[in-house]
Amino acid sequence: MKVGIEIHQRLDAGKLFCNCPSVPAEGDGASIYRRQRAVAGELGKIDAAAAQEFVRKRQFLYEAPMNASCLVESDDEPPHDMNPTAIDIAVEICLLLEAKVVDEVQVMRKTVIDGSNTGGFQRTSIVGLDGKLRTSRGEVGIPVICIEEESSGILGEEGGAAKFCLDRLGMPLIEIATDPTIVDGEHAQEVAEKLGGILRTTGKVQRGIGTIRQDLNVSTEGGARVEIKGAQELKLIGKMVENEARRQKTLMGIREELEKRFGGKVDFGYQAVDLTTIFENTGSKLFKGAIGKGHRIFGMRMPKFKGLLGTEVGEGRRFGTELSDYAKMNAGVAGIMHSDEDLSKYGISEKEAREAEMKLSLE
Amino acid sequence: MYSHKVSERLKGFGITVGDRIRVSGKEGSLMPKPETGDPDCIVIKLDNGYNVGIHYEEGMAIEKLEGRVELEKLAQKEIKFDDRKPVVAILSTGGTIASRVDYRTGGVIPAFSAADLVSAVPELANIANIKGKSVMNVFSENIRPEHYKYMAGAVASEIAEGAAGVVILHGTDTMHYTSSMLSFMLRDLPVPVVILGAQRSSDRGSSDAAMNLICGVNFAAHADYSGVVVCMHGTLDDKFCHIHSGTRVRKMHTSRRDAFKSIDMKPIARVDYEGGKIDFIGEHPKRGHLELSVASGLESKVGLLKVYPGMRLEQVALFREKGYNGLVIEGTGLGHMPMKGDESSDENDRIFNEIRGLAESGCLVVMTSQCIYGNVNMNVYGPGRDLQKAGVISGQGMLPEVAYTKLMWLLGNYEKEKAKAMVSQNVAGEIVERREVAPDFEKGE
Repeated sequence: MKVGIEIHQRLDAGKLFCNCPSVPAEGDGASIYRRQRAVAGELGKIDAAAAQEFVRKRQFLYEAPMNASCLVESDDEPPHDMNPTAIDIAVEICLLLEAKVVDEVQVMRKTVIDGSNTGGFQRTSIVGLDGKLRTSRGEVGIPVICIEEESSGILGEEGGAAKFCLDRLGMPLIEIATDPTIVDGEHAQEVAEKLGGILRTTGKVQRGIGTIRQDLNVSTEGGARVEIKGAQELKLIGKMVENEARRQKTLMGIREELEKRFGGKVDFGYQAVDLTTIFENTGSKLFKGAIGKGHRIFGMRMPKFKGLLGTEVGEGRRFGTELSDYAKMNAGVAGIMHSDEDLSKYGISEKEAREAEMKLSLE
Repeated sequence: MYSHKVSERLKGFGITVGDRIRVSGKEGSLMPKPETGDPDCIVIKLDNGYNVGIHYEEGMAIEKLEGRVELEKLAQKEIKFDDRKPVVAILSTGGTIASRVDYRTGGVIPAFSAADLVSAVPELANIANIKGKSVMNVFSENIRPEHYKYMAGAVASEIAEGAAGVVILHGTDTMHYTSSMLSFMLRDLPVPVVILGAQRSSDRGSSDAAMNLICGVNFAAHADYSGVVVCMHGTLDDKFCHIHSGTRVRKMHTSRRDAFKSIDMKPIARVDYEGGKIDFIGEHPKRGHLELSVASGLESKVGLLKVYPGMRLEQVALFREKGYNGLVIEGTGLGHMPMKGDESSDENDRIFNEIRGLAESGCLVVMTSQCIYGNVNMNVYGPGRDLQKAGVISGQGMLPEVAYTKLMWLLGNYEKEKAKAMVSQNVAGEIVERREVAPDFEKGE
C-alpha cells in the first residue's frame, strides 16, 4: 500500500489577495446570483470536469458579508498583491520542513467550477520544494509546499442554486503534500500528527474546527489511486486509510470474480432499454414523481452479475451503491436499483418487476 | 519579458516558450514571463500543473527536452443557416470579450469568426444566424477618430447586407465614447446597434462576457428598436442586462460588472439572461424603413478639459496656441470654473481671459459638469452668466464625454455657425429634457 497526505492549514493572517480580515461573517451583507461556464484552462484545453459541471447548469448564490468580504471575493475587482504576512508564515513553515524556498513565487489558477470560488478558479503558488519529515519509519518526502486561497463555504441549496458564504473565500492556506511513501494507516496517523505539530509550533496558524483539512491518497497494489478529501478528524486518519484499502481490495475481488464468470474481458453490451411504459400506472411514488416530471426509466441487463451487487465494499456501502454513485456523477442519472435488491421497498409491484425482467429478457 | 541575459541564453539553446526544459533539476514547460516580477527568473510549469520561478545564475545548466506543449485549438462547431432566424452581425474591435488567453505567449487571441464565437458561446446559434467580422484590433483606450469611421462604415455595410441588428464587441474603458459617437454618425438608423464588452476577463468561468453577448445578440436580433445602445450587466447578478442609450451611458466603476449606468434617465430596456425576455422601460424609437446614412466627418482638434482648484493658465493656453476648434470644459457644479483672482494670485483672472480669448478666436467652448449627474445651468450664479458673456456655451447637461464626441462630429460635418446652434439641440437623445425625482439616482432602474 502507498499513501500520501495533503494537509491544508489556514494561516493566521488577513486574506491572501485583498485587505479583508480572515474572520467569520457577521451582520449585514449582499446576496449575489451567479452562473459559471467552462473555459479553456491555462493550456487551452477545456477541463473535462469543468465542462461537465457546466452541462449540469449549476446556479450559485453568494452571501457577501460586509465585515468579511469585498469586491475581490465577489469577483468584481482584480486581486491585490499577495499578503506579505501570509508569505512570511509560509516561508517559515517551508524552512521547518527543510524545503527549498523558491526564487520567485508564481501565482497560477486551478480550475474550480463547483462554485466554491466566485472566479471559477483558485489561485495557488508554490513556495517551497523538496522538503522532508523524519518519522519512526523513515523519511517522508514533501515535494511541494503551496500557499493558496481558501474556497467559500457551502451553506446549502436555495431554489435550485448552491449557496455559499464569501467570508472564508480568500483566507490564506498552506498546502503541504507528502510523497506516497507512507506505508500504512498507522504511519499516516503519525505523519499527520507530526505535520500538525510543526504547523502549530509557528504560533501563526488558525486553530479550531475547519481550520485544518487533510486529503488522503491511497493506492493498493493492482488498485487505483483514490483521493479521500476533507478528513478533519486527525484521530480517524489511520482508520480511513485502512477502510479505503479494504474497499479497493474488495473491488479487485469483484473484478476477478467477474472475469472468471465472463471467461476474460467483462463485456455485456451495455444496452439501455426504455422501461417507462411499464411504470405508467405504478404505485411507486418514486417512479410516479419522476415520470410526472417528464423523466424516463431505463433498464439494463447485466448478465453474470447476480449476487455481486450486494457485496459490501465498506461499512454500510455495497457495490450497487458504488455503481449508482458513478452513474449519478457521470450521466446525471437520478439513481440505480437492481434485482439483487428487494424492489418492493421502492413500491415496485411484482408484476412490474416481472414485466421489466421480460422486457430486458433476464434469465 | 525575460531579461536580455536570460532571453539570449534560452535562444542559445534553441528554447522558446512552450518548450519542455530542465533547469536547476526541475522539469517543465517554459512559460512566458509576466510583466511583473524578476526578469531573471525563469518560469516553468511543472508536471503537477504548478508554476515555479527559478532564478537564473550565470552558467546555469538549461536543457531542452522532448515534448513541447502546443495550445489546443478550440473545437469548432459547424454553423447551419436557419432561414427562420434573423441575421446578426458581430463586429469585433479588439476588446477581450469572447477571446481567450494564450498562456504560452501571454497574448489574447480574439475570437471573431462566427465559428469562434458560436464555439465559445453556443447559445448564440439559438438566437440568430451569426455573422462575425473583425473590424480592428485595439484596446479601447487607444481608439482614435479613424477607428470611429471604420466602425460606422462596417455597421452601415452590415445593415445594407440585411442584418437585423449589429453587435459591436468593444473594450469597456471608452465604450461610452464610441456609443455616443456612433449615435451621432449613424443617421436614420433603422435597426439596433448594440455595443457590449466584458468587465471580467473571458478566461475565467465567471466572466460577464457570455451573458452580455447573449443578451446583446438577443436585443439586436429581436428588439423593436432603432438606435445605438450599450448592453451590459444590470446588477452584480447574472440575471439580466440593461440596455442603455448610447448618449446617456457612462462607465461608473473600474471593475464591477454593472459598471455601466444610464445617467439621469432610466435604462431603455432590460433583457433577461434566462428566457431572453426583453422589457422596455419607457418610450423608445422603433425599427423603421429608414435610409441609413453615415455622417462621417470628424474634427480632431477638439479638447476635453477638467478644471480644478489651483489649475494654471498654461493648461488652458494650449488650446488657442494650437488652434483648437472645439473645447469641452468639465466644469464644477452647475457649470463653473476658476475665473476670479484675489490678492494672493491673479492666475484665475488670466484663465478666464484666456477662455474668453479662445471663444472669440472662433473655438466652440462648451460647458459640462464633473458632477456627471444633473443639469448644467449657467444662469443661476454670476460666474456662470459671465462665462456665457465670454462666449462659453452651456452643454445642457450633456455628459462631458458625449459633449466631446458631439463637438468632434458637429465640427466635422457642419459649418461653424450651424454647429454652434446644434450644440444645444438634441441630435441623438444626448440632452435630457426632464430629470425625474429618483430617490436613489445611482441605482439605475
